[in-house]
Amino acid sequence: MKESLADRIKKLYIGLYKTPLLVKLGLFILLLVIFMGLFGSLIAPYDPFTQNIAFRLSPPLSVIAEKHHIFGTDPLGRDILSRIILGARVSLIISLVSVLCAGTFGTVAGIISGFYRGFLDIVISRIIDIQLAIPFMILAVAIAAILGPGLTNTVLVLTVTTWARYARLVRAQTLSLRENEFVESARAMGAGDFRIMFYHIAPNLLSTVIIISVLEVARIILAEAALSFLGLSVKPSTITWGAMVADGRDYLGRAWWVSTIPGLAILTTVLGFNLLGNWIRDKLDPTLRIL
Amino acid sequence: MQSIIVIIGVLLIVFTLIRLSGDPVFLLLPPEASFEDIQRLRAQLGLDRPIYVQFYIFLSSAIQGDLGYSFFFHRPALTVVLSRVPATLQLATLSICITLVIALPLGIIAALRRDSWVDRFSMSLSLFGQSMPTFWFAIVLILIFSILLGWFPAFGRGSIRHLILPSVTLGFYNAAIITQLLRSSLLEVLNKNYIRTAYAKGLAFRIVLVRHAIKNASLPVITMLGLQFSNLMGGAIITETVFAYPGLGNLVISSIYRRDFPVVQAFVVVISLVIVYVNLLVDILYTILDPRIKYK
Repeated sequence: MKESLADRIKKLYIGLYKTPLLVKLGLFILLLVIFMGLFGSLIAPYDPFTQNIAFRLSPPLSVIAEKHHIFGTDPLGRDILSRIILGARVSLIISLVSVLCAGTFGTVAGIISGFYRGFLDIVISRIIDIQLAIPFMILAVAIAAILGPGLTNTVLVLTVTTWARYARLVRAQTLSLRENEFVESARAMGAGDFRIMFYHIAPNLLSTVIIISVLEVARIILAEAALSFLGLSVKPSTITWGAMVADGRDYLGRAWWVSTIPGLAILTTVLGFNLLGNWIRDKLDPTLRIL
Repeated sequence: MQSIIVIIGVLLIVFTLIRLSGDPVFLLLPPEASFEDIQRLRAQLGLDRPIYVQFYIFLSSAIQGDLGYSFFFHRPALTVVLSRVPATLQLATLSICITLVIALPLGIIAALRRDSWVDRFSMSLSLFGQSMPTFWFAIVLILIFSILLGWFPAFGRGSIRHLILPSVTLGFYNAAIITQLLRSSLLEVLNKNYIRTAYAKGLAFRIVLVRHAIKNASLPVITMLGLQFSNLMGGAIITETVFAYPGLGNLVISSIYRRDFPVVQAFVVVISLVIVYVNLLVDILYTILDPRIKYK
């Protein structure tokens, strides 16, 4: 008999203590970033907004007026470590909310498209094709230019540009799921379309959607960082890792740490999500390896 | 037929989106321009008509090869876009070469020597490649090879040396994906019966690898390379921005900001054609590599 998803998740949980070291590392990074996002203002060593022009661009590990700047200071003399800790919040909020929105929207669109087939499917599939045909950054920049900066707008941009990835896969799986006997028997029991789609078909899509979502968080963090690097994400006063990398661009020759260290924060976080996502994928459904 | 629908759909979305981004007239006229001036310019640019009429006019003249005049450069939009194509084409070609130089040996050796150090190295390389922000990698390259060592210029276009850093940035990122893809598709092929048959009839390892295994494993790799090439032509915005490289991505971003509608539209037309041609090329390569595939 085929194991149910609940069984597989339980096994996943039990297996955690004998997971590979790299996966534990990924989990650790993830927990660390979430911790930074939740308690950032409490654990940051200094106020991330306090400027001190006299001590601008001090190198990492420098001690100024009894203040230890582990990662140095930026062009306005602000502590880089504190800014990285505070920056985690924006990255996390934007990426998690965008993945939630895009995942929900893409899944619903994919189920409807695959379930009803016919005209509705043709329309939705064409929209997916069109969406995937426009280079991601160009669409994101165009929408960001229309909407202007801001947290909600960035979430909107990332949702609009990524939902099609879920929709395409979910549609393909729904097409084969709807031919199963359990759909027929549900129909015989008098279940309506809505009930079949969301109570009978959707649970079978769960593992696919979970896998895409975790890997998608990694890609969304990168995309948000790229947008904020271009100055198209949240308002300039909000701390983001991407904007911090951009801040240091003009000082590369004099102060290498201003750009590179916030970039390492992005790299580490995305690496954590990728390690975790790859592992969950290999456990739940190795056939999705092409993602 | 399907691709024509997709192209028209993409055009319609871009057409509407950039018109939503604001009125270019205010950027083109001095702030003290009178209301009559504004109205006159708007009518002159054809922006006073409803969007669907504008779209109809655009499509019908586009079919005749007329993509309108750039608001900013006062030259035909198509000329403006085409003038940037060589720069981006050079960048795309060189970075695909770099991708192949990294990914081909690494992917093949990783598949042949599973769990060896090469395999593990290629795994971590592709994991890092996919986790790294492009703009950060570009900045690190500039820091090391241009500021510290002074080997390559950090920005602009001119000599082949200007091309190296941006192509390495793009090529490395794509290599991370290709290596993994080549490895897994080669592993799959190596388990097939015809490989065993080839060995059984006494063929040398080298011939089995090249003629039987790599040839069959290359189909998904070629699809991905085609996709990456299309993306490089249209979407290398970040890299072109960091290196101030005057390519298509740079042009389209500044045109979106300048609300230079005709240039953005011409860009979409040109890129769509590039994508269609690349897909055609990939399909032709398919039939050469795998004669079983036939197109009606």
